[in-house]
Amino acid sequence: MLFRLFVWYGESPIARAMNSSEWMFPIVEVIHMIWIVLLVGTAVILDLRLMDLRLKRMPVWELASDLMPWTTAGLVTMLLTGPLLLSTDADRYYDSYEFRFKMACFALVLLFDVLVHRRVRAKNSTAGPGWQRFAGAMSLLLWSCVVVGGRAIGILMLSVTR
Amino acid sequence: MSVLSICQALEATWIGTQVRETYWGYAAPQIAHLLGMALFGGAVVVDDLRLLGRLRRPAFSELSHQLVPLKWLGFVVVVGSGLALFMSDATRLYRNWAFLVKAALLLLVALNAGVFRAAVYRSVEPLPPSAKVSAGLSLLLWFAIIVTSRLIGFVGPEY
Repeated sequence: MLFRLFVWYGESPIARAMNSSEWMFPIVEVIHMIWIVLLVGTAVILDLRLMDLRLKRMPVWELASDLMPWTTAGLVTMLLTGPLLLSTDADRYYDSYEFRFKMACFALVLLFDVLVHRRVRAKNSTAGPGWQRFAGAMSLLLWSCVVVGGRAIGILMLSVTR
Repeated sequence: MSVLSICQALEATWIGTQVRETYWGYAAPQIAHLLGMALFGGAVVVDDLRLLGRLRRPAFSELSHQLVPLKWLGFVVVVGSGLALFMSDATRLYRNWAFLVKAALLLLVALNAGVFRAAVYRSVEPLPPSAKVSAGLSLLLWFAIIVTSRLIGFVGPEY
């Protein structure tokens, strides 16, 4: 069922547009990578603050409210460009363990954000230092796994044919 | 000794061979390169955003000081993995125009950091107008470096 959805998506007008020129993939991929640096880069700094490792003198919610617009913009760009990249080879992505790993980690980090991270970084948060450290460490770990998974897709999966 | 013979020697080294011919030998530095980039690039971008006034706090001197260990760690990882990747494919890369442009841009970004940023790091707030120029230049150069990095794999010559 899910596989048929991927096959259908791989033949959709979006996929045809992406495959219409050999330059479409690298252009979208570059945008994807520039914004992942912004997304993960700003997330890492907030997480290190939560873990009490950096910028200790700055209140968490203040740093969060300054950095979050950039993290969010990065996330939105990922959600727009990621599916475009997926469309170029959707049925092979479906079979790839690297892709499944990345999507599982991505789903976890979003879930963790809604359930825990968001509450810990809120202005009126009552979370103690233990919760803060846990939220920072988990978020750091999960985002790193998303990056590792993303690179693994590009190298391990695509190198089979390239 | 020609550039070509140096590149051939680099490719023949143990590191060059491992990266070129083994599964994880290639994957590990690729993954490390991007993770290091998120650390180093993230810290640099946040610095630049602060200089451009897109972040309100903390004071630039404190922010950049706090981010120094992140930059060093990211820098070492990025340079180390980048060198390993270059060694695996040196004879192709040295005549790949995207790689050569990337190398030139890296020199420019280092120059920007060395010349302009040094002055900015020493000054106290309010920051001089040159701080914004330097930060904008830095963002622009890093943007172009990522673009040329991705282009390396897409433009000739082939193997």
